[in-house]
Amino acid sequence: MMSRIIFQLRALLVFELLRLVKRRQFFLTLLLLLLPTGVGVLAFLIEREDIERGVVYAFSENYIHELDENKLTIRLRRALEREGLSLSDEVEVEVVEKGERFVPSSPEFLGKFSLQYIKDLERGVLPEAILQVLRKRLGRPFLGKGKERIFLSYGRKEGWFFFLGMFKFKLIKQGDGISLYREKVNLYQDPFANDGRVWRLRDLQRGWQMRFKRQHDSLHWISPQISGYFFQQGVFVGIGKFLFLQLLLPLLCLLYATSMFRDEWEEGTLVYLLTVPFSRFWIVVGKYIGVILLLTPLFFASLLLLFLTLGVLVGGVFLSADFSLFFEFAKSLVFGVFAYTAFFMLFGLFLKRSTVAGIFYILLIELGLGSALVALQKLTISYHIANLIQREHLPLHSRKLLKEVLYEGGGNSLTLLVGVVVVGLVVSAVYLRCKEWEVERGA
Amino acid sequence: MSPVIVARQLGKWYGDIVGINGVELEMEGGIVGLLGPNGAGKSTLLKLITGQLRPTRGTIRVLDEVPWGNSKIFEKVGYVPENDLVYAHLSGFQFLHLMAQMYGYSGGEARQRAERALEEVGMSSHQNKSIASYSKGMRQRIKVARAILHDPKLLILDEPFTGMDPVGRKHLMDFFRRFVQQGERHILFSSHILHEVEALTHSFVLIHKGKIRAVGEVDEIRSLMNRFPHRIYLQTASFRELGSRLVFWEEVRGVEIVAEKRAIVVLAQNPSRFYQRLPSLIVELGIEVEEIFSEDDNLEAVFRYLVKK
Repeated sequence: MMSRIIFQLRALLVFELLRLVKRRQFFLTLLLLLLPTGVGVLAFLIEREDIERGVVYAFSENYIHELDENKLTIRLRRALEREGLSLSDEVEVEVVEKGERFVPSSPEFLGKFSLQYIKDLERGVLPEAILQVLRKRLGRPFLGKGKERIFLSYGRKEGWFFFLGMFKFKLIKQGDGISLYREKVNLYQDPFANDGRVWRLRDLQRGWQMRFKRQHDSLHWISPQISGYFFQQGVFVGIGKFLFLQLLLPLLCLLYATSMFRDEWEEGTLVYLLTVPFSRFWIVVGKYIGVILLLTPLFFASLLLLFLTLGVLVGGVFLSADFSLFFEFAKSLVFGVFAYTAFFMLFGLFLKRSTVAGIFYILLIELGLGSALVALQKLTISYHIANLIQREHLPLHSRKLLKEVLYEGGGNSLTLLVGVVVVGLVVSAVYLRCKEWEVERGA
Repeated sequence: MSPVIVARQLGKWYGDIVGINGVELEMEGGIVGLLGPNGAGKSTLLKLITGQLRPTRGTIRVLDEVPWGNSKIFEKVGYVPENDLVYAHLSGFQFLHLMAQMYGYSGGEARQRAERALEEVGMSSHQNKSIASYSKGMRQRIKVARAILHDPKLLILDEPFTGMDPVGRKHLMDFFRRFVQQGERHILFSSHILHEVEALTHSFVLIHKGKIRAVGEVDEIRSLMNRFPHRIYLQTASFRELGSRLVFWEEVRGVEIVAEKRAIVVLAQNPSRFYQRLPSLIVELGIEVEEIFSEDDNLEAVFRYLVKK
């Protein structure tokens, strides 16, 4: 009995896959799934110069906080000693670009630099960018330890990078201090000029304000390699969330799930499936799996293409470092395909204009509620899909990146998504069992 | 042996529109033609028989099973739908091979069954061509091949000869005859063309406006039809002369003159006898008849008689 069902399911899957890949919407799907990589390449071309100059890309809060500074200091000291330097040296350095002077104060301060330096240092290599800075020491101490004044400025609230959750900063010496500000500053504020109050930052995102408070005594400065690395990770996370999880995933699942039965009925081929000794429950399951088998590899390939392309563009140095981040997104996409397909299959069965209704649903509920009404976020599938991304096993900065752009709810998202799949399949099967498709066609 | 199909007071309504109503039917077996004009309710009845529609009222049993919602019935029933076959991206063999697997056969057996079905319908030589390249008649044959993959006891065919060329039609008819000769095999097929049904079987079910109007052998139906006058159209330059003679014939109930077409329409009570006598009269009058046909040759007219009955 079971082997018979397997034969039948296998045949149905072949039917379904052959049908789907011959449709025009399949080519549209391929084009749409190239879009994320295109956006990634475009972002790289726009930011290429800054990446190569070592401009800091910070997508989340300070990735320095959780370092074991002692450990880093020791390693840094060893590296510095190999270069004929010592931690007690005070250095003044110059930023090459624009002729502006850049002073990271002391080597101890350098020790608070990026987490990624640890990786370089562990390999016994002092990042080339640091060496460039140190070799340009001018012999004049800048500021004493613990007295760094860092002015943070910000600007350009608008712009697509803002919406991608990506913030680009530059370190520039200003007066006797160092400013960390976003490029193309059009609004400069010095929070410390007003008794250290940060009220002027109220119009910024809450999260950013909090980060600001915590990291005001920190300074980022990274090498071009690190800059590229953060670019890669940041763009990947941004595109992963906004283009994949929130747009392409629901949209493509909608296109395929709503047409699952409707198209076959309109073409007159559904009758060939419904007039064989095969229960309608298994027909629902077979067609559902067919869509899953088509979309999952496509999404996986598209995500991988984006990840690798970004890695290659920024030099491929850290290409293999954070595949865990890629796999977390890939996993979420797979669960997303399962849940959205089951959900939109119901649209296709119950609604006449199911695709239009589905697009409205995506815009109003998934994107609308998910973005605007925090309390209602948990009603959206995208919220629970994003929740599936496990953060604890990821590198620190990836965790922070995700925290910046994705919900962090925990809870029973997996259970809920499995529930959506089960309900979708069962209700579809019951409906298909009771539906008289031929009534619509007439006598 | 219990009847193959039993319907009792079977009705199907599409909202306010009647599909079929009060259908009483017992199909004993063999080949039965479901004859009726377009919109008569043939497809509705076949879809009720194959469980694609749920009866609004009454009951139906097919091979002792209730068909609605019962996919297992297709283990014994093969169905050829009216819909065209649009799996254009597959070859005939690929389609049948996959369909055989859909019937639950393993790869090897599915292949054998597909090949055998193709042979039965005379499509072996075209089996590797794309369905998109098939003529309408070839697609019809592939549809029939699909329906016989699992050696069904009952074959239900909805307008199976539509668009078929004479050779293909003969091939299929020969196959249908062989099919029922294997014993315990039955065919119910629908058509709106009288001679198409007559060529294959003498057993009719006549359906019109959602009701079964007559069931029986072709001879019974012909004699039934003869009880009602036929309208026979005759076009000749001497139409008045011809009409004046015909009006005295016993089998003629009336003559209508269509002057603008130089024709007459004769209402003949016994058309067979009328056609026997007519040639002699034409010779006797020495006139030339340009056109002669019976309006009642079309099926609609037959049903008009039966409805009046």
